[in-house]
Parts: sequence; structure tokens; C-alpha cells
Amino acid sequence: MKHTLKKLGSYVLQQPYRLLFIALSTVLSSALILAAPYLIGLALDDYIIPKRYEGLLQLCILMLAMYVLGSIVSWLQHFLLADVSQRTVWSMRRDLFTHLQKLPLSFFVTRKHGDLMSRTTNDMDNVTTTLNQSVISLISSVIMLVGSFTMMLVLNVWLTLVALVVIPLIVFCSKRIAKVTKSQFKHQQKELGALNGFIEETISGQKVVSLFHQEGRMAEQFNASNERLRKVGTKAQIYAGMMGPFMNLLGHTSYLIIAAAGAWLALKDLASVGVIISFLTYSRQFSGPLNELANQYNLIQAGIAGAERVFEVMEAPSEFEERDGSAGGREIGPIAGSVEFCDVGFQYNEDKIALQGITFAAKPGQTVALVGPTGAGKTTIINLLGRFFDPSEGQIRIDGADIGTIDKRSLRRQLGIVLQDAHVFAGTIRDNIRYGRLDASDEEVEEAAKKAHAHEFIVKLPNGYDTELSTEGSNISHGQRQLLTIARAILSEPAMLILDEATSSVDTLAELHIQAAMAELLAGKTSFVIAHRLSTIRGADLILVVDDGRIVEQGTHEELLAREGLYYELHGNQFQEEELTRS
Amino acid sequence: MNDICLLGVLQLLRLMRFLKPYWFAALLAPLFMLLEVAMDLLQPRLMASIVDGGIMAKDLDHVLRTGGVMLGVALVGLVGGACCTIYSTIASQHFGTDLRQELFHKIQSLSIQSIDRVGTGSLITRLTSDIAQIQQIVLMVLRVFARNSFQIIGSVVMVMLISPRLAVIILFMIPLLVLTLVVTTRMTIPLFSKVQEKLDGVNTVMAENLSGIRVIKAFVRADYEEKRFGGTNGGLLRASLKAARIAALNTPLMSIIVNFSIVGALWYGGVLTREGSLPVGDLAAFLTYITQLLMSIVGLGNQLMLVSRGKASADRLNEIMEMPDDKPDALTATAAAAVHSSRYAIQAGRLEFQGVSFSYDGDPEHAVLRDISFTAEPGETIGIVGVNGAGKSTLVSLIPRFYEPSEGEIRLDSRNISEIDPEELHSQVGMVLQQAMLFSGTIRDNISYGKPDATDAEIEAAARAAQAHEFIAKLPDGYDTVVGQRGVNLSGGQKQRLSIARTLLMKPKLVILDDCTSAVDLTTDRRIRQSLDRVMKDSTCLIIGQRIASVEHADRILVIEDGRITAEGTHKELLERSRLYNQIALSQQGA
Repeated sequence: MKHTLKKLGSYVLQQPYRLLFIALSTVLSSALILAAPYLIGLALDDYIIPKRYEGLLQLCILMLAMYVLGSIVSWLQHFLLADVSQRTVWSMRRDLFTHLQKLPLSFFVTRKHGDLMSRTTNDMDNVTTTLNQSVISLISSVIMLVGSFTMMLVLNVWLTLVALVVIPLIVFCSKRIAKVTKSQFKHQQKELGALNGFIEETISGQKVVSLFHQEGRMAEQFNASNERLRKVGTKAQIYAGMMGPFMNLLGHTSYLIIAAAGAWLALKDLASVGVIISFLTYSRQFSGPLNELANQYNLIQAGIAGAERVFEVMEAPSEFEERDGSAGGREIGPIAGSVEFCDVGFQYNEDKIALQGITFAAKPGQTVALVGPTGAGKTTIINLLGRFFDPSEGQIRIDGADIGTIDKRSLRRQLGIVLQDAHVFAGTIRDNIRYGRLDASDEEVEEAAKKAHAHEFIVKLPNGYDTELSTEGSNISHGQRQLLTIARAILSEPAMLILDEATSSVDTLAELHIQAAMAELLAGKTSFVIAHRLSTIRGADLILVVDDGRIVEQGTHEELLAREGLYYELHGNQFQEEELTRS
Repeated sequence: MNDICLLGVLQLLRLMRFLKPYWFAALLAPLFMLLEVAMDLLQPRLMASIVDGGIMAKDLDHVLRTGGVMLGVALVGLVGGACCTIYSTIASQHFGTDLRQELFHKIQSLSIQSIDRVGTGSLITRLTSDIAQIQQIVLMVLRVFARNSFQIIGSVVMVMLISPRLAVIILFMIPLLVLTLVVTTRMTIPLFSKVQEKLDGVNTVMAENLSGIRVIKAFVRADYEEKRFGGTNGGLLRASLKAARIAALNTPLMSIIVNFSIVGALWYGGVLTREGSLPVGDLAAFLTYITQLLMSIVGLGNQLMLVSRGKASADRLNEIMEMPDDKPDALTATAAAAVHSSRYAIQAGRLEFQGVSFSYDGDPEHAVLRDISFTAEPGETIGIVGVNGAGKSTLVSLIPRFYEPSEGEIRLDSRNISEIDPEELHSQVGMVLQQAMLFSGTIRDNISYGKPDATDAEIEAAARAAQAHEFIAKLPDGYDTVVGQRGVNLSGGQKQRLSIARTLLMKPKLVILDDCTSAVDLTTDRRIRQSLDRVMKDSTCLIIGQRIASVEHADRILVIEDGRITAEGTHKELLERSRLYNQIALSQQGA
């Protein structure tokens, strides 16, 4: 928590001039606000009680002037504080986003999507709310505390000491309540996470729920989880809510003690009535901010917890910082395209070996096909080639250079990677294709779409290239989404193309067209293809058969068939069927 | 602008019906708060008595006696405050829980079409953060809002009691305060809804970025994304600053009004004390109450602003609540099924499409399916072939009633499917979707999803039929292996096989496979088809396949082009008759 506050503080401190102005205006406005009870006491003591009324009017006018000035200064202060808190959140958001772009893929793979989402949106919102609402009252509270205390000291030292009697009580009570509340809040956060996870899963899988007619069971599970959240939530909120009434009681107690002590002093003629009345006003101003803070306790708690979770993301190491702290490798120009894997091994975590002893070499311009059962490690090989992960052992070389020494961004600019899940962004079809090369003209976009065999279906859509897509992409089919991602890759004119089951849902007719376009596009360029379809694999210059994290066979289609190994077994089936079809 | 405020409050009020069952707690909470406030308000009065009767009269006994009363009053106040917290929390938590439950049930009853339209992401936000926001507002209204309101009323009453003549001052003050509050609130509410809009925009970009992070990395587009985000983030900053700067006027304006009143009271009070009609202690108490009034009004102003900011959330919740129930109510349907199922149970599994047309937006110009008619006899296997976007998936989506045909009828065992109880329909129609969707839980839980009381033997049999048993058995925990969120620890092919097993376990009369083996290797694909022939030989089968091999053994194959059936027949017949079929078949020979 200390660390979080420190980091948060460093963000706030990024605006020293505004802060300086705030400090000045706060001191000024507090001085003015604090002077008021003093003047009221003065009016009572010197004018009203002795019934001397000459000069009272002047005093009142002086007070009015001070109030006007005080309000102007306080407006300036609020204005600047709003600026500081908004700009703080703005720069935190900016840094969070920028940092997210630099995090390695492993960071996203190992974390639940829902959790990351809630950190970057909900938690960030919590920080905003807390900064907006609580920081202003926090700062003015602290100043009011200090100011009131000073005035109390000036007015009467003994009464001030009496007023301090309650402080240890306040500290003790708030610490106790805070401790219990914190653990209750943790429970609540856990149940909330569970419920939100369930909601996300059920709503995304609504079709399946409906198909199996499990609405009733899902509702039961939801209700149970919802009920658990209600129970812990009620507990946490009640504990947190106790802070307010207790602080209120303590405020009254201190008021009472001061009043009794003041009355005694007045009786003994050790203090004037005016002083005691001013003193009581200050003591209220002293406990007021404390009450305020106590009432905002759960808000502040949520804000700090949110900031903690946001900073956790922001402190995760960037993928562009090498282990030795250097800023990542050298830049490279266009590559020729020879690829070598030398005894490469990789494991995602300690107990699961994903790849072992991967060795192969592809010459520039060759097509390499990766085949094997699902889960064998084909995609992992691709991930290593794009440096989304770095091998645990061995070396990968492109054009003879260890890719570990090449800047990741520079390397990836040379590769065109089409992924299986066919991600589209919210925006028009045109924007989605143009993502491959941002400065491409409309004609170039259409040209790429034609090559990817996507043009035909696009022009049939009511809005053509301007059709808006949603992230879930439910308005076009999965196969069509794959065509768009291929068009995107074609447009980017990569030096090396990597297709990871990029056409799994594309019909074979379209695939045939795409292959023809690709052949032209890739003339002289190296490409990697993961696919199940024999037609896609057959023409490859090098086929790697991957099983259980190893390359068990490699060679051309004919060589591998002749070996009658796993490749023969995997594809014998389709091979026979295709022979049958042909006959 | 006035309309905006009014509508916002109305939208919120409409949700308050969820507070009805807890009216008792919701009523007790402000009542207890009233107790606390009343006790708070007594304090300055008692203080005045200490000043006048004790200090001025030099009577220490009176000070101590009144002091004792003060402490008692403070304790009663504590009880009031604590009870208010308890009851307000109970009421608001129940409220939030019920609202969430109602909304969840509502979403479950929506048609897939409505869910598509709103978007799952948006639905999730509504169920989580929007409800949390409203719940927070209810809690605030029951506690802090109630507190400030009572304090304002109480202070005014106390001031009147002390000196009706002096209280004239607040007659000037209150209208001025209300005016200020109304003006600033009116100015800021549209600004704050703009802020909310911009915030939603920022969160959307953030969410999109997270889900597309692989593509962004692959194309090295971090700079572009940062620029895009910078734009929305900057917009949010500008909107927030504008709103906050105007909101910053609120407190200083109000304090200046109250402070002027204080000076007025001091001067006028001074005059009154000279006449002897107002004791000095009372003047001090008067000033305390009026300061109290200031704090409460400023607090109330800020809270009013928060309440109106809840409007956006209330709007989004009400929007869903008002959507029509597209699916018949699950509970009544079950009851109805109990009566009818024996008489009308789907026995054979004969499927009939009669002149079915469909368009997603209801516009016949954009029809995705046109005049589809065919019949699948019980036990028959029908293959469906066509290029991407021809309408294959849409066609089969009509059978479990994800969407309703715009024209024509679909019949199952001669009954129009719209007249069949959905539970019965779904128990007899099994469909495996193109994209395998698993739930967190064990593999066993996932396979037995549709029939939670399935025996281990049934589960294993289904897994074997889907060619999943082998890989499951190899996992360290076998069938008890925990599947991560959306099956992250399984490969695409494994997920597809589990979702096939899940459907096979139900032994439906009609099985629909929507290109659900795209990530499965070919040998396994063939084995799945062979075991389907064996296990499901009495069931009617619809198979959509990209691979000719997946459909060529079907009894009949439908060729779909642009939403129409253009050819129908066996593999051999189609090779002779259909140009498209021929082209597809040829394309798969790697020629």
C-alpha cells in the first residue's frame, strides 16, 4: 500500500506548478476560512456581550470582504485540484495503455481476460472516482486539520490539550474497523470476481446454454453465487459503514469534553466566553474533516485497491527490455528469408515442456508446412519465430543472424502473420484490411481483398467496404473473417508469410483462389503454413511433422509418404478418400 | 436540459421497484438516520444551554448535568447511525442482488438475435458495473442523502425555534441556494453525461486492444494504437475538465451565500441582543446551525450530481428490461411440457423446411436464405455444402430457433417448431457449433453439461464416440482435469471434440454438426464420422462441412448458393449435376 501511494504520489507530483498554486491558494483560503470563527468570537466578546455596537458594522464588512475573497480563492483551488486529478488519471491511463502494448504475449496468455479487462477499466475508473472525489476533500481536510489545530493552539493551549485526548481513541477505533473491513472487502472482491466470471462465461456461451436448455440450472448457479456475494457484500459494507457513526460519536465526545472544560475555564475566569465559542467552532472544523474522511473510507479503500491492481500491470516487465536491461536488439532491413532452428527447446512453465530439440532449415523462398495432431506444438514454433516467446534453449536464425539479437518490432515488420482466430476490430471492413498497411489507398485495399477472395462477399454486403464490423464479428461468418485477415496480411506485403490455420473455415474453392494469389505474392519469399488440408500441404517444399513437441519426420510430401510413418498415417485417410473421389 | 435531469430521475425511479420487497429496511434506514440527525441537532441547543445557563450564569452543576444529557444524546445518535448503516446496507444489497438476478434471467430469455444486437460485452458491463453503480446510489440515497436532507430540514426548524425573527435571514438564503444548485446542476449534468460517454469510449478502445493484442503485436501497430487511444483519452480529459471546472463553482458559490447569511445573522443578532430579546448563547447556537446548514447543502449538491450521473446506467438497464421476451418463459414452458410431452414427444426426427426465407434485418432485399424447402427423413444423413457466406450456418440456426424464419415453416415430426415446447425441442435437437464454447469446470462437467446426472459410463461412451477419450485419458487428471476459462488450456481440436461429445451424450433425435471439426486432424475427423454412423444411426443428421470427405457418405447432399438450394442429391449425382459441387470437390484434390 505504501508503494501504491508513493507511485500515485509521483503521478500527482508531475504537475509541480499547479500543485504550488494549489498549496498557496489552499493556505490563503484556509487562513480566510479559519479567520472567520475568530472574528465571530471577537464580535461576541468585544461588541455583543459588552453591548458596544460602534465598530460592529465595520467588523461585519471586513468579514464579508474576507468571505468573498475566500470564495474566490477556494474556487481557484477547486479548479486547479480538478485539473490535477483529471490530468493525473489521464497520464496514468496513457501510461497503462502504452505499457500494455509492450507487455509480452506470455503476460496475456497467463492471465484471465476478464481480470485484465477489469483492471484496465473498472479499477482505473475506481482510481478516477477516488482522485476526483476524495483527493480534494483529503487535501482540504488535512489543511483544515492543521489550520484548526493552529487556531486552537492560539486561542487556548489548555483546551487544545483537552481536545487532543480523543485522538488516540480515534486512531484506535479507525484502525480496528479498518482491519476488519479490509478482510471483508477481500472476501467481497473474491465473490465479485467469481460472479463476474460466471456472467462473462454464461453470456458468451448463451447459444450453448440455450441449445442444451440449461437456462434453469445456470439461473440456479447464478442465484447461488449472487446470494453469496450479497452476504459478504452486506457484511463488508456494514463494517465499512460503521466508521461514520463511530467517528460522529467521537466527534461529539470531544465536543462535549471541550465544552465541559471550557465551561469550567469560563467559571474560573480563565477564558472568555467568546474564546470558548470560537474554540468550539474550530473543534467542529477539526472533527468535520475526520468524519468526512471516515465516511469516504470505503471509496478511498476501493481507489487504493484499484491503483494497486493497475500498478501491478504497469510494473510487469516489458518485452522490449532484454533481460540484461538493454533496450532490445538491432534494427534489420528487408530479409532474404532463410530460417534455421538449431536444437530449439521451449517451455511455458517449469513442469510443461512444449518443444524439444526442434531443428530444421528453410532456404529463402521455400514453403514450410507444419502438420501434426492438435496440441503438438505447431503454433508454439510460429510464436518463437515471431519472438512472441523466446526459446528456453537453442537458437533461431534468420539470414544467419540469431533473432535474439534483432529488435522484436523490426523483426515482426518483416513477417506477415495470419492467426487462426481471425480477429477483427470494431470499424469498417476497409479499416480492418487497411490495418495491414496504414497508408494504403482504397484501390490497394480492394486489390488485396480481391487477392484474398474477399472482394466478392464484401460487395454483396449492403454497405460494401464501409460495412461496420463488431469485435465479436457476429455480422459476418468465421470463414469471411478469415478472408479479411488474409487480405490484411497480403496488404502488408511481408517479406515472410506465416499462416496458422488461416483458412480452416474458408471454403476450399476460395482457398484455391487464395493459394493462386499467394503463389504470385510469395514468389521468392519464405512462408510457413499450418494446416490440416492435404491440398494446402502437398505442394510445400518442406513438411515438418510435429508430435508431442518434437519434429518426428521432415521432408517433402513424396518422401514422407514413402516413409509410411506418422505423416502417412495422419493423411493416409484423406489421401485414400481423395483418390476415391478422383476415380 | 431540464428534460434530461427529469428523465434521468425517472429512469432511476423505475428501477426502484426492486426495492419494494425491502421497503421495511428501506424505510427504517432513513428513520434511524432521522434519529441520528435529531440527536446531532440537539447538540448545539444543549450547547447553548451550557453557555447561557452554565457559563454565563457561572453554574458548573448545570454544565455537568447538561453535559451528561449531551453524552446520552450522542450515544442514541450512534445507535441511530449504526442501525441506519445496517438497514440501508441490507436494503441496497438485496436491491442489487435482485436487480442482477432479474437482469440475468431477462438476458437468458432474450433471443440470440437480440443478444447479437446488444453485444455480449455490453451485456456483461450492464450486469456488472452498471448494477454496482445503481446499488451504490441506493445506498447513498438511504444514508448520506437522507442525512443531509434531514439536517437541512432540522437546521431550518431549529433556527426557527431559536428566534423566528433571526430566521428571516434564511428565508433569503434558501431560495438563493436552491437557485445556485439548480443552475450549476443543470449546467453540469449534460457535461457529466458527456464525460460518461467519453469514458465508455476509452474503455471500449481498451477492451478492443486487449482482445486483439496478438494482431497488434504481429503487425507492430503499437504506435498506431497509442495514437488512437491518445485521441479518445484526450477527449475524455477535455470533457472531464470542462465538467469539473464548472462543478468547482458549486462549493464557493454556496459558501459565499451561507457566509453572507452568517454575517447578516451576526449583525442582526447583535441588534436583537441589544434589545435583550435574544440571549448570547442562542446567537452562538444559531450560528452553529447555519454553518451546519451550509455543509449539508454543499453535500446534498454533490450527491445530487452523483445521482444524476447514475442516469446513464439506469438507461442501459431499463433498455434491456424492456426488450421483448423472445423465448417463451422457461418455467411455464417446463410446466406445459410436463402435460404435453407424453402425447407429443418427438419420436422419429423427421425434419421439413417449407419455403423458408430469412433475413437478419427483416428486409427481404437482404435475405440470407430464400425459399428453402427440403425434407430429412428419420435416420437420414443430410450433407450441406456451399461456399463461405452462402447461408449454411444461418439455415441450421433456424432449427433450434436461434432466429425465426421471415417466411415459411420448419416442421419436426409434422409439428411446426414454433409450437413445440423449447425444452422438448432442445432435448431432441443437438447442435454442435462452429466455434467450440466450453465452460470452466472439469472435462466431466463439460461433457455432461446437458445432462448433469449422466453416469461415468455414459460420459466415457460419449467421449469415445467423439474421439476425445484418448486425449482425455492422457491428461494427468483425466476426466477431472479442470478446463480453464473458455478452455484456454486445450487446443482448438480438443475443444471441438469435447463439444461434440457434449452433444452426443444427449442422444438427440436430430443432430446438427456445423463445420465443427475444422481444427481436428483428418484421421480423427474420419473416425468421428464413423462412430457417428454407429452411435447415431437412428437419428437424423445434418452435417455442414468444408471438406467433401465430411459429407460425401451422406444419404443426400444439399448445395447452397447465395441462400438457395441449387442442387440436391448423392455425392455421385452431384458430381454429374452440380457445377459448384464439382468445383469444390476438385479444389480439394490439390489439383
